[in-house]
Amino acid sequence: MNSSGQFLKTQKLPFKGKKILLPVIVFAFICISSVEIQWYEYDLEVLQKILTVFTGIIMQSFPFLMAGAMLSSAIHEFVPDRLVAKFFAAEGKRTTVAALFAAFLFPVCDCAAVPAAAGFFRKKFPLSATVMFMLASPMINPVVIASTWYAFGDFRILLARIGLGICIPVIIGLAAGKVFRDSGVLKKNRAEESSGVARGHCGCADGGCDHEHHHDHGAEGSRLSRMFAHAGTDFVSVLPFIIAGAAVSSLLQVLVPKNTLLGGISGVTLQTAVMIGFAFVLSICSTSDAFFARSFMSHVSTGPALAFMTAGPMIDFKNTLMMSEYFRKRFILFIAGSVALSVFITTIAIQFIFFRGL
Amino acid sequence: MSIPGNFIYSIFLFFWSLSVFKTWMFGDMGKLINPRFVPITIASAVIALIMGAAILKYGRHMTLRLSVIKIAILVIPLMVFLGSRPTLFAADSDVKSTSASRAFNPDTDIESEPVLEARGNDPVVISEENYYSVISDMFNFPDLYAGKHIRISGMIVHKNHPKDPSDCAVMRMMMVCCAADLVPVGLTCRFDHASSIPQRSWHHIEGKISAAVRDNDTIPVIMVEKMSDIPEPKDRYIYPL
Repeated sequence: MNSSGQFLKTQKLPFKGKKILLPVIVFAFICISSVEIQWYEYDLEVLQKILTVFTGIIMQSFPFLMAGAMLSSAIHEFVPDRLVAKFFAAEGKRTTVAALFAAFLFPVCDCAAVPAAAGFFRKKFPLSATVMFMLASPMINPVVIASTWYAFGDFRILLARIGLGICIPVIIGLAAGKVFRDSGVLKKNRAEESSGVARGHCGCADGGCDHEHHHDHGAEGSRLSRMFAHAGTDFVSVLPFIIAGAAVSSLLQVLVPKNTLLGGISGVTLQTAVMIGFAFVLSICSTSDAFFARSFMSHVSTGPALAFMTAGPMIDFKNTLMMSEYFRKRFILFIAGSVALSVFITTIAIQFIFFRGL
Repeated sequence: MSIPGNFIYSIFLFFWSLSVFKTWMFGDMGKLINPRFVPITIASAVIALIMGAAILKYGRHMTLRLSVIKIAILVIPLMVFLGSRPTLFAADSDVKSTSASRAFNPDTDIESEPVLEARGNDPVVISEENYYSVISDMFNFPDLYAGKHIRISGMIVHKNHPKDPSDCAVMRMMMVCCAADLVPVGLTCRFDHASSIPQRSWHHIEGKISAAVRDNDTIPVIMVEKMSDIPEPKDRYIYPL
């Protein structure tokens, strides 16, 4: 907005997608219409199953992703920087407890945790506490605890899951705090959003801006309007990653015979590795993965099933893609590697100590 | 051709909301997600509209940060949502994949009200409300249920390669969150003419529970005494939570 209170000329950007969009649209229509064609009954059924699982994952992620984007945006707009600086200036016990408490109170899956964590990073919350929140919130919230209890009805499995959901995020969070203390974890464009120099989406960061307007998130209006606008762009920016993750997940879920594959695998070590791999590619929501893990129990021991329930909520294909929108590659590799390794070691140990023979 | 960034964001939010409303109004939401998520999904579609309006009105200086690939990825599922309708899943032919297929822990004890009630009753009546908890308990403690009578309704599913031609299974698909986590849950049934029952037909079954050993596990098996056709229920799935 200029000094006379009028909106300046809308900034228009070249939109080069139309040449590619046309074949994409044609391809999509062919896919959709093929569902209606009676080819072979089996093929039709498989295609419909893939589409249903695909749309189911997206539909179910929709509100959680939005909750994450809204939380991230609300923190950005309404939490003053000085408050963060005052209460969360240093890494320590207080921030660890606060991160775990927030993780417990945030009853969502990883779809919401990643954008919310990005919001915390932007607001300069301590790195270790934010990592703890991001990894723990899909694991230790009340909905996940209830579903785990309902699926297994076994206190030992429930306690093991909660214990791992606290210990692994704390360890990885503290390690991330040491490793990335000076380098930062947000991608350059995402970090700039919080720098105060080039906030928002106005393009001033690229140096191509010669207009005069309110420099606060690229959106004008009240704080509430800006919150909605900011959350909306965040939501649309991350949605392609959820869609791509859902596409891969739905293909694998329908086409890969999981139980047949697992039936041929023996040995806790190999089973644990395979279950961590399954957790990554299947990208099951943390609120329902306990029931899925229960269905694997006819083929694997308790430890590998626990590995499935621990690794999946922290790192899977869907949230790795989503993280790539916000975080640097090195940070994502660190999180993925450390989660896989720590889950592998701890669940095998738990199997041999507490669930020997089960 | 140049299009303002905020316009593209708003259009996508509008169409995503539209696809949610379309799924809801066509009655397809239950095929995709657990009914407990429907209110928050509708609410999020309304919020998406508000976001779109806010971006359109106040985000005039926004830069479009979506690559062509991302735009294509956003467009394809929108067309799937708007152009097709989801299918209902039947139970898998491989009965072994049931989520309650093995008693993995003898100490397991979900002492919920339906389970305690079922343990004390004869006949054991399996309803939509107690479906998962009671069947799960039957797999955990088959001996507690052996000898009791049972009443259950569900879809008849034949194994791909049954070890015994008189075996089939009565099952329902269980949804916890969405179509991605659907798993078949049910019980093995035994009677002489099992193979003559059409695959995936709906029946009410009455019989006696016995404990049988399969693949080194003790599992509950229904010795069928009475079977009758029933219409397919309005909601084919069961929801444990």
